[in-house]
Amino acid sequence: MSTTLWIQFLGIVFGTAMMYFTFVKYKRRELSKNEALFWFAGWIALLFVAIRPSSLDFFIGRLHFYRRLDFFVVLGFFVLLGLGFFNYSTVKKMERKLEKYVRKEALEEIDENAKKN
Amino acid sequence: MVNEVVGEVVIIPAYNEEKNIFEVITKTKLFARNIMVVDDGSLDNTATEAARAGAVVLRHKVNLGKGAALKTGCDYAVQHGAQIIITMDADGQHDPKEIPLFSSALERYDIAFGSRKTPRSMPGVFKLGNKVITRTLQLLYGVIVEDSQCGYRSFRADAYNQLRWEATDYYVETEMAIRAGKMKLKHTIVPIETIYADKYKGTTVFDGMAIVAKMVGWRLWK
Repeated sequence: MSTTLWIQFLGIVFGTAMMYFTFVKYKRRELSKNEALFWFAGWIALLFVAIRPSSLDFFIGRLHFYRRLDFFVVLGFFVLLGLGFFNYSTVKKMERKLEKYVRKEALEEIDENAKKN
Repeated sequence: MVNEVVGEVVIIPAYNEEKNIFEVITKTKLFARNIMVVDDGSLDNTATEAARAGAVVLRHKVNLGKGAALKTGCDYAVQHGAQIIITMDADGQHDPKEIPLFSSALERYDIAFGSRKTPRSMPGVFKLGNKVITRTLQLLYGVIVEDSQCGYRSFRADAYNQLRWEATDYYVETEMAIRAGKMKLKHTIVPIETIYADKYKGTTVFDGMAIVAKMVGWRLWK
């Protein structure tokens, strides 16, 4: 099997597996309907590109990339960086909320205990 | 000390220190009346042991980090009338007999930084890490603190309002020094003895690298 076919094969396996995980998360109600649809759309796009790499040729020609894979790698980096930033900001926001809540609770608890005593 | 106006309070943030905390508090009681332990979500009996030893115990239900624990303790102390705050570590590495040195330093200064005399028992990686952090602090902020990572410190309650940090982790010590420099608080250094009992607790190499990265980030964006 040629290198291109291997990459296509791995892309299809990865995309299918991720669709399955997305479905499981949706069933467990860890993802809302809209969130699941968003991720499904992403995985379907990945599968489509893996099955028909020529569908990228329009962009590749315009952007003067040599190979489809180069385009895919660059695009992948952008997506990963975007997701990394999004995850970072979400985690930070959660951290701040948790800190505020835990500290507030500690201060309230000791005052309540003091009143009881 | 519960809910009463206090003069001087020793604040000890603690995480999984059930083996040391009782002894630390017992020794500290010889030099300070008001001792407050902030149990930072310990998985063991730290809070129970601290209460048994006679300290006021505040509890974080979830482990947030040293900076957050110190902030909870300081907020509580200041809200309840403390005028002088002394911070110590819970693992017994700080000798409570030096508390009077930290108290008397505040007669002339706003904040006193402990500085460990580097003993042979101090692990090499700690020595190097501390040196790098302290040098970076001097270079980027012009704050001259001999031992930027020492948790044995004292400051006045009015200075705390200017020092109040954002850090929830081990960056708290560095941030405190940076803020003291920025706010032009009068600061001094108190040389202290240090006993290293546990090589694996406290600031790790990764914490050290994160502290240096944060210092650079702060310099650029804050």
